[in-house]
Amino acid sequence: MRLSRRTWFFLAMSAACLLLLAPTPEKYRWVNLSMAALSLMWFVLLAAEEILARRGENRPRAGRSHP
Amino acid sequence: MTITIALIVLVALSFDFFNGFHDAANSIATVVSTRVLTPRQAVAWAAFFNFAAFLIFGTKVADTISNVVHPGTLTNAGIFAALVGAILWDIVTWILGLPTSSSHALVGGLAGAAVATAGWGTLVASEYQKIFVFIVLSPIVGILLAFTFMTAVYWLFHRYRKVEKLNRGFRRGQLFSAAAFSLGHGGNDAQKTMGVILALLIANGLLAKGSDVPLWVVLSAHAAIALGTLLGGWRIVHTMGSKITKLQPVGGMCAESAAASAIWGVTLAGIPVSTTHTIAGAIVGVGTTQRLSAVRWGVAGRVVWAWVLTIPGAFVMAWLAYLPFRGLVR
Repeated sequence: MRLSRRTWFFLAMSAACLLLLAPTPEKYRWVNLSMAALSLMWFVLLAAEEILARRGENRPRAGRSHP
Repeated sequence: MTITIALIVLVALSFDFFNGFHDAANSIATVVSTRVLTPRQAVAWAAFFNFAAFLIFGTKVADTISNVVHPGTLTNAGIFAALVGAILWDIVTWILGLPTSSSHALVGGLAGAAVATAGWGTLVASEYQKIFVFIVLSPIVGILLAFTFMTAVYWLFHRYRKVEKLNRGFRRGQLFSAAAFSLGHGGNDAQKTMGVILALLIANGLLAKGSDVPLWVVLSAHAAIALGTLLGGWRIVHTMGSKITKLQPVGGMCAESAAASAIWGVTLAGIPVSTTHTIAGAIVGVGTTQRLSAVRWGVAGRVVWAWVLTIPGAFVMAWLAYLPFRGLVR
């Protein structure tokens, strides 16, 4: 299933936040973790929306017969 | 000696003035591009809140800046060269119309002057590490918060049919978000100059190590940045307000609210971040709610390159500036 570039963009941002965990001083790591979680949430929601929308498009419409 | 110190304080305040001139345009770019305020009203609005910021924020960012170099290693010539390097970098990027960060120019300038004075060992790695991490994190926070705010607004109001009334509400909301952003900008950026002046006063034995920032330093730094904002630079308003993505009042409000939230948080935590990075990220975040191609990545990429080059650029300029000044300023 192909996802849009926007959806992957949020996964990439989540990965960037996690990659920065090591150099981030311990006191501020909550920023990386909360942003990674927020970004991941948007990735999941956008991916789900795209997948469901595509399924809806592929489903045969009620009341119409196939040729 | 006293004249030298007064002169360097004056140069530091001019840096603050240039910071307002250069960076403050970001805080009003969205409010001007959505035509909520005229350019003249917008600069007055932002300048007022830049100054008022001294009532809200402490001086934690100033402490961080005064500690990026081991106390006592920077001479008057070094501090002077750091400021000259940062100002030169700001002027070059202003001429080119690039929204680079004055904060990072200052950090790069301080590093260049410190290394020229006494070698690499003078830099405090932990402070630089914190600053470098937040160079990358602050635009990401801007993007994510702006996307979240914008989506929440769409979700809350998508059934509302009175579009005109809604737009009027968002336009009014933008006044508050621009004020919040200007407060954050004044709080974070004015403190960087306070940090430099604090380091200067400690280096000359006028204040003890670990002293608080004197009130006259706080007030003069906020006044300088507010004055700079009042005479702001319009080239950068154009880049930030319309070139990255086209903004509506609702988008401007969300971008500014997201950037303001991020800047208030880091300022209270004592982290010097670039207001430019944060608002640029927030504008990208708003553009992303339409689709990724709504963001003009070419312009955004040019801005990113300017960011990447700022610390090394200001470093080299401060290093070069130190050479003639080391004999002149003592």
